[in-house]
Amino acid sequence: MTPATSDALALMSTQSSSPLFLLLVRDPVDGQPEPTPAQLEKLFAWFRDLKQRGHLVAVSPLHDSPGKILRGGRTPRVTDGPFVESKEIVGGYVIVTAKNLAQAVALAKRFPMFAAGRSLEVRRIDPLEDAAYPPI
Amino acid sequence: MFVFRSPVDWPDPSPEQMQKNFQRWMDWIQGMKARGQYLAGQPLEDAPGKVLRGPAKVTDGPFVEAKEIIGGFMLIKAQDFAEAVAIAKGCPFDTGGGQVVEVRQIRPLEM
Repeated sequence: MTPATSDALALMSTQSSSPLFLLLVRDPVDGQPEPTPAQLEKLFAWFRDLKQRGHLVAVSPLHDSPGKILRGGRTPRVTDGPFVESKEIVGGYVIVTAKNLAQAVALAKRFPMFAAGRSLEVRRIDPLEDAAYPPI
Repeated sequence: MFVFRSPVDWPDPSPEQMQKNFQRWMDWIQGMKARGQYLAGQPLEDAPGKVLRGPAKVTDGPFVEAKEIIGGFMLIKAQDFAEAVAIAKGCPFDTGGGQVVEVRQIRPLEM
């Protein structure tokens, strides 16, 4: 993350009554072409729709440039990753509010990137405390 | 972004160990907060989630298909990637090994 992205962080309370869900975007590592401009436009339209309906809390793509994997014990081992060890890579995340898992899954079904080989993992977030997400 | 992974069949810690782990995590987080590095962090409930491979392909997950499960994530601020990795090294890794932290750079999104 560049320092500039943190200038205007959206502070939101995760102690609100509505549950939060993490939609983790998984990209295939090999063989999938880059999304077309038309696919990207659909993706942004989905983001805007979620925002207009009050579901969107945060969204960020991740750089597909090299990441690092740290494995415990006491002195963690650092390796390039996650590419070497899996067929899928986490490509980004979306955080939404929804009444329950079923509604979160219903929102996730409209993700327009399935045709581009992406999949979504939907998980309920354990509310912890106030969080500052990059602005949307 | 730090993505925290742990083995699916990882044994639950004892209540005493859990308390100790919790304290180590809180110390780590407080240190990052004091240095202005911490933005957000959320554990994920290990209750069943869903994996979608298409609108009509919804399965229980991620447990059935992975050896590791994502247990939470954290957003931190760093001058560069090397500093982010240095910060991740402060994570209170379980001494038994098994715990994994994936460090990834976030791409700013213009909507």
